[in-house]
Amino acid sequence: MAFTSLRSLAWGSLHRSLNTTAVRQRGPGATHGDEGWKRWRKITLLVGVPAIILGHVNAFWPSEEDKVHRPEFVAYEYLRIRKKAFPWGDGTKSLIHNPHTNALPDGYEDAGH
Amino acid sequence: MSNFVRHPYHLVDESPWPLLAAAGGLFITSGMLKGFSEGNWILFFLSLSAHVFLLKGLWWNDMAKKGGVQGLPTFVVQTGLRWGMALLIVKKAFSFLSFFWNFSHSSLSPSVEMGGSGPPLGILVFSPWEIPLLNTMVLLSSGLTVTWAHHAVQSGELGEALMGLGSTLVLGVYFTCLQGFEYWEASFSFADSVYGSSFYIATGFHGIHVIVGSLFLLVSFCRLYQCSFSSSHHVGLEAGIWYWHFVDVVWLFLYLVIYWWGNSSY
Repeated sequence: MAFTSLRSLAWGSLHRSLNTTAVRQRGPGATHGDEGWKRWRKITLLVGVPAIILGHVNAFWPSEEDKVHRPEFVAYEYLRIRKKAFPWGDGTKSLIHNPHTNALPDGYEDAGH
Repeated sequence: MSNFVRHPYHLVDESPWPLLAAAGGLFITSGMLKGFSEGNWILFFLSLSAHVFLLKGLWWNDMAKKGGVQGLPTFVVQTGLRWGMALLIVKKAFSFLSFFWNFSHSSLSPSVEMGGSGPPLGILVFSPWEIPLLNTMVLLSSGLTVTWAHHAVQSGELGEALMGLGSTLVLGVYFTCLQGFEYWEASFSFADSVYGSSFYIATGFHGIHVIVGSLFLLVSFCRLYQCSFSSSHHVGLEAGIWYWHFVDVVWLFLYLVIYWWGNSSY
């Protein structure tokens, strides 16, 4: 008996939480006078926009480390695995192949440069 | 015949979409099999585009008409739709759990042949403090703008809602572009050890979800523009917002586990 009521209580609260939005909309004063959007717009402008700007400065500010783009080529057997040809192009290059940073099984294409 | 209805449901019309969708699923998987075994992807791309753009578009259009113009889904039916969305998200959460499990497993018990280290020797990983951090900012901010839009819809402020949802869409597309740039710059591919495979399956699966979430919000944006939502009746938009928050939370875990924790050597 106690278990049944506990279960119905848990079920009811889950059901309610799934419907919170709907319940909130039906609550008094929900359709008019709810100025929540103003608060969220303010947070977007005061927190979101500066965070994105700072993120850009941080990510794209030129630094010495940026020059190291690729590791030295070593023919480890667990790298550049080619068990069968890729179903695109000539079958030797991965889907997003960058000739400068992605080596083929026998080395970088521009290794001489 | 009486017009009196003794139940809280609306009865749907007969519809060709469920059967066609099932057939589409069959053709997509057959097309994949053909592609993987024979290298011929025509059937796959044809059936996928027919399935996604034509069928899902028309089905969605029908649903939107029922919801927006006819206002059919009752409170009980809306609850059912919400349950459906919640269960879909739970299902997706478990898919991501398996990718995290896979990544953590190979990072925590790296094999001796790969230098006994995770990430393996010879893999140059991304710095978590550059574009991945920016992407975190972009996606978290899109969570703010989508909440702005949701509150605006509830208050009946159409212009603000369009602005909030539009900003979310722009941020979503920008996130996808930045991820594409990262993939282009990457020094490892998905054929580079277990690290490459698990990195790309986890971030790629997330990327697909960002694209789907953006499409979901784009449809909601168009419906909002056409005034197909009301301030108290907008389940489609809510489902899109839930989905977007889910994608947002998964990114936080990806950032913490794969980009940050997974990038330190052991």
